[in-house]
Amino acid sequence: MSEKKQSVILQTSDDEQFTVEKVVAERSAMIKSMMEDLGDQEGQAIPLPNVSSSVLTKILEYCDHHKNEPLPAPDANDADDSRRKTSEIGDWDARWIQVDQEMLFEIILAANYLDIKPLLDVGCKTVANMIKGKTPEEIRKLFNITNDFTPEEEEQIRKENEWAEE
Amino acid sequence: MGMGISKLVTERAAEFSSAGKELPYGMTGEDIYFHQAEPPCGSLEEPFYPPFPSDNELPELPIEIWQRIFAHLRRKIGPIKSKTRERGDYHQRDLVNAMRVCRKFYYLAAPILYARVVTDKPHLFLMGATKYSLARVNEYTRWTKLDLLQFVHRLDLMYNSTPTTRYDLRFPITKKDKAKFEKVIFKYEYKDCEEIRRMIQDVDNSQSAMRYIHWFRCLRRQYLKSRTPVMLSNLEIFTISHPSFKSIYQEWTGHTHVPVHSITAPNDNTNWPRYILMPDKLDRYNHAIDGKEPVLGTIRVVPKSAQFSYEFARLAAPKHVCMDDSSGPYAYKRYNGLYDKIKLPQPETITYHIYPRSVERFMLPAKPDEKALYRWRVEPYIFNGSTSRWVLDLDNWKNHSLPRQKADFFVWLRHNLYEFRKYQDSDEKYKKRWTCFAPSFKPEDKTKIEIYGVLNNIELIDDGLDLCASRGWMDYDKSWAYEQKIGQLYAFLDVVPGMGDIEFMEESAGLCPACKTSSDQTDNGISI
Repeated sequence: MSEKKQSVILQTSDDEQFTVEKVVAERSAMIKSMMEDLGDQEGQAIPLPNVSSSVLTKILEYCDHHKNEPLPAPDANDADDSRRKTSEIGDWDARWIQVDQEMLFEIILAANYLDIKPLLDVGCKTVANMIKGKTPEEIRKLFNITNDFTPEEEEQIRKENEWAEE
Repeated sequence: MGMGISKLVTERAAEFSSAGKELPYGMTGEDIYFHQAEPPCGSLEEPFYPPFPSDNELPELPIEIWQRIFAHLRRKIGPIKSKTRERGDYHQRDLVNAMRVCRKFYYLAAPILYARVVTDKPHLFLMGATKYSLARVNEYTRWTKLDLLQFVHRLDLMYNSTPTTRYDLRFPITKKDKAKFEKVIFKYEYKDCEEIRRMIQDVDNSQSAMRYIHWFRCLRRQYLKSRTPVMLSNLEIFTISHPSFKSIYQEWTGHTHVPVHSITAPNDNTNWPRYILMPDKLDRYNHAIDGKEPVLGTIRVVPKSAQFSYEFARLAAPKHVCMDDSSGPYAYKRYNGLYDKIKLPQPETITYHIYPRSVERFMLPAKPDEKALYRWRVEPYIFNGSTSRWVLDLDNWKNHSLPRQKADFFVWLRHNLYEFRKYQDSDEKYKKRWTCFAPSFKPEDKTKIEIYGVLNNIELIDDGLDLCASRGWMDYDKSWAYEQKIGQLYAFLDVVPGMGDIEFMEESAGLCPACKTSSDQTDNGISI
């Protein structure tokens, strides 16, 4: 195999090009299938119109760190995926994902678009951790959500679900 | 005005269940079981979109990602029998808080919260179920409680007691009743004992439960018409059990007088006896509903846990049932034809956990000075076409049982296997008296009994059969080879290995299809 075949060019929404090792890019099931579709057309850039260069840089960091781990089976549903068995986020991942909320959301969106399931999970778990232990009002403040419940309705919901609170 | 659910709710529920929606998007079987287990039907590929439009835009992320996030908010709950648990271990406060944030969060988080319900307060769980069941549903722009109940995939109904005293008799009760009640309950020397507490709580709970019972019965009529579940129609797994919470008992050990007839401390014994109240003796239960006899008259021998489990079981059609009590709906033997008209849908498996306590039951003496204890054998109920799994939990039988109980177990087993064979050999008419022919029953469904946790517990066999031998039931010698012992066991039980529908399993029970607890996974290391 030639040296060239081991890498792939990714083009972001802001028209930046990244030359990435194949094993790294393969973490994304979406890029992987695109590479298979492209076949031998070397040197052709894979366009990623939904991902900006700053987010891609960040994501490639993740992919590079995890490049030696086994890929989840292509059509594995969530159930037989071992990564979900642990609810904890790995140490490295936890440090890596310490970003502001905007970036976090963009990483999640990109992970969803690029179909990198473990990364999507890390992102979702991080948001879940942000919600945990907070009151409804604190959650609203955190994500800038308007409360569209009347106080009576909110109280009704609390009452109806009181069984789950102890 | 009837109290049945409105047509609209039924339609909405039918629509939901006919869409084959099982687990919410982003949830897996693991969220339901905690253990590594195949999800019963795979997880949803499509997120469940809110049925009512809302202008409130969610911040930046699409709906399916929010639902994924909420799936992570769900606290995973393992085997509910673990003795290391605290009461608070079952809460799902984060999900409830998320539901209260805004309408969209509510729609997304609710199915996740309701996918698995663990509760020891069924009356709280049902809160609101009857409220919006009338025509007002049109103006209702949230899920009704009945809608929410359609999301329930697994229901763990726990029966649990918190320490109670006579001052906790706060429920509305007439003076006459209270006097009568206190006279019955508090006449014993050990006023503070666990049984009394349980009894008081039973009454307290059944008070709250009362209002639902009648409503349940109305639903039942609807069920009988259509033969399809009208409530909890997605319920697959139903467990009824008695968890041990370490803190409650530990705190109270100092004050708890273990009653004379107890064998071990409550903590040792998951199957601590529960007494049955006869509330029809009290004033407030003596009024007719719908011009009929007091409904409670007919459930007087069913304890609170069984009341609810019974009503749930009658309205839903769970595939797997797990219980560790002999008085639940699936184990209850019908006395005096009380339940003759009830036909429960037949589950695939019924796991019945057998504790040292299960093989015998006691009642409080009728008079305080009476020493005699009333005791009767428990007969697990056999369902036509179901596999009954009788599981001995190794920890309990190894560390918390007396030789007498071990011997009792084999006598119990012999009796029940004999009854089972008698039933199998009998004609249809007799069979009908013995079991429920559920509408779903097909003649090719095999009725089977699997017994776990005996062959691999040689102490149990040694101690139990040795005592049986000394009582003259059989010959037994502890110095025999294993094969000879097992041979003698089969002979005593009249079982031919590999033949018939009774099977002794070599290993301990693996995972129970319902509660997913393995019989050897109890917390051996926890001392009390």
